[in-house]
Amino acid sequence: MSQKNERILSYLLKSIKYPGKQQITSCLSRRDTSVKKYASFKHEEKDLTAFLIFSTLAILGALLTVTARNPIYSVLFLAMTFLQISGLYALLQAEFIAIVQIAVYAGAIMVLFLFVVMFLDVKEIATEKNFHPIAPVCLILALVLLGEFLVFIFYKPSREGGLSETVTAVGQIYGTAENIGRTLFSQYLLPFEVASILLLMAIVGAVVLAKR
Amino acid sequence: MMNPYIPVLILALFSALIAGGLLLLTSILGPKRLTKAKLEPFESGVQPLQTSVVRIPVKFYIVAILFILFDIEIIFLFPWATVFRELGVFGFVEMIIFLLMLVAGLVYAWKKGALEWE
Amino acid sequence: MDLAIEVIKVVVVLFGVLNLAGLLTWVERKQSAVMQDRIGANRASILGIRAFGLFHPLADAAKLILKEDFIPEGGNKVLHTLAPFASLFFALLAFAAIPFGNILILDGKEINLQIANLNVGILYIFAMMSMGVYGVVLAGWSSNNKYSLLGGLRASSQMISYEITMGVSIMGIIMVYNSLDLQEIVRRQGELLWGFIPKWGVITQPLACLLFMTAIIAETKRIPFDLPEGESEIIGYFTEYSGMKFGMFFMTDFVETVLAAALMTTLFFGGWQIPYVHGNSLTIVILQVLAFTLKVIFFCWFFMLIRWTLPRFRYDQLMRLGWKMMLPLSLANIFVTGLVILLWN
Repeated sequence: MSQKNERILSYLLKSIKYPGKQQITSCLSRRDTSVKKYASFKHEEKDLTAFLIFSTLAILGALLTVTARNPIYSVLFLAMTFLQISGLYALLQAEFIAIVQIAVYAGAIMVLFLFVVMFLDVKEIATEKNFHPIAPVCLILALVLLGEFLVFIFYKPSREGGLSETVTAVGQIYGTAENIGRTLFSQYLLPFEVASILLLMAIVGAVVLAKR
Repeated sequence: MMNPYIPVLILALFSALIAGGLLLLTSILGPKRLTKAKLEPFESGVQPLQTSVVRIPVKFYIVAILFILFDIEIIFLFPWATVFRELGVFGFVEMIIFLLMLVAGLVYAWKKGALEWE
Repeated sequence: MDLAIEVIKVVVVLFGVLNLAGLLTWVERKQSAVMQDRIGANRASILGIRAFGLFHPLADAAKLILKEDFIPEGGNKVLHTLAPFASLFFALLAFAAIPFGNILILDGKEINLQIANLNVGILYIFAMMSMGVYGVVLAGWSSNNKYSLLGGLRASSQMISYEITMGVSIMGIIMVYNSLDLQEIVRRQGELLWGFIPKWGVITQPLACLLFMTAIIAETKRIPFDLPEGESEIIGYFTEYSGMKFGMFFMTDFVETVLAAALMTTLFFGGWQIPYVHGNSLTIVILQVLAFTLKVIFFCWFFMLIRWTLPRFRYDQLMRLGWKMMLPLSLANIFVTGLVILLWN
């Protein structure tokens, strides 16, 4: 680990409050395999190249998703976008999230989308370019979101390192499934249990809808 | 130490070459003698009566929805199972409550006959 | 240099997998013949040498490549081509996380005999297998044949249903060995239980082993779960395919069979471990790679054996087995495993 990253790590451990901190600190000091594997892996030029490739393809996929005429193509381009985003997560060393992105978004949710498109049997979307009346509102919201992102990216906290390095350092702590488990089942216990109720609702909803 | 995803990319490249190469080979080397009858949809020798517009049973949709929900459950189970010993009894009870919720959903779908295929 | 080693590993794995898959086409035909008291595939010959018909896979490949490849009228050309590509691509990609040997030390350099040592290895394979559904759905949809479309939907519903059981039954293994890294899981299986029983997955998780095996056979669409592919009786998703495109679905099947065998070996039968043999010397590592290969071949053979032992399920039976029997059982397995581990400590 580079000197700078080491400093950011120790800074994070001091300043951010999260349970499981003891475990993470101890696993850092023990140089447990999950952390050690990346200890010597540092930001390099080729990461930037990879980032550019993944992000360009992701944006391209997103654009093609909304412009494609055939809904099946839209679904496939969206799946491609998810794969690229998964690559971005992998670059940030958030391995677990990267794979979940593929397994859940590309592998499960997109399959449901494909099913639905086949149910409706839409071969091609009508050609006239009708904008929904709500379109201007969407545009404003999108611009606001973009602004927020820009502020987030260019705002340099007076603390050490920029956003990217902080994120990398966080990835080294949080990226593995073990540490996500430690955090999820202690600090974020309530949201986790609430999620189960949400899933239950979804099952009931689907069954009710499909059974008339 | 190399990023462990670089070998995955190398494998992806080779796999794409193999799959793409086979497609290319068969399109170059295969003969092209298309006839009207050959291009018709195969329906065991019977003339196709209507186009491929077909109404699909809604059960496939229920299966897909149930799949997504249980897939998410599995995703939650993965990080839990890795730190299962550390979390101890408390973590075990947490997960059992979570699973019971989903089992309730499964039982509901079962009782409502959403899993029947006759 | 590092890169060269990685490329060599990739080539070795692909070579092994594709050759084994090709060989399996012969094994399947020959074994069917033996079971039915026939002679079986033995005609293909090179310069008069027949070699028990071992040249048949080569002849098959040449035949399929030279066959006409056409897309039915009204079908979608792009997706019709993309479907077999996606099937084969994701099936091959899944092998990245399978460890086929221990860490080899050559000239003081550590070479991990696994294409990519991923922290989330098993989840990675799970994700790649779930991507396999695309090929099936797209093949059915792009063929402009209503029976193919229904076949595609049937096949994909089968795959996603059994993926759930597969995922849940793996959980017991992760709870016992506390890792998602397959190399680590294999290493932990080298330990001994009470000092003399190897701690293989099949011993610590017998029920999960059975459930996983059933689920993965369904996932690879082999008999008795071959409804998507019983093309002579039920029209399946690749009815409208010909030439090597058809051959690629065929290949995917056998590649997936090898993957299934490799996963069974890795998760439940000690991976490359040979019981009571430890060490990092060159001879031992080579023997372990050999042991891994033999175990994989054994499971491939075992899956073939099931083909002539069990009759095909009906679709409602298939769905009932998946959702109403195997899923509750695999959830119960998590519960029991958790209780036992907690009481043990």
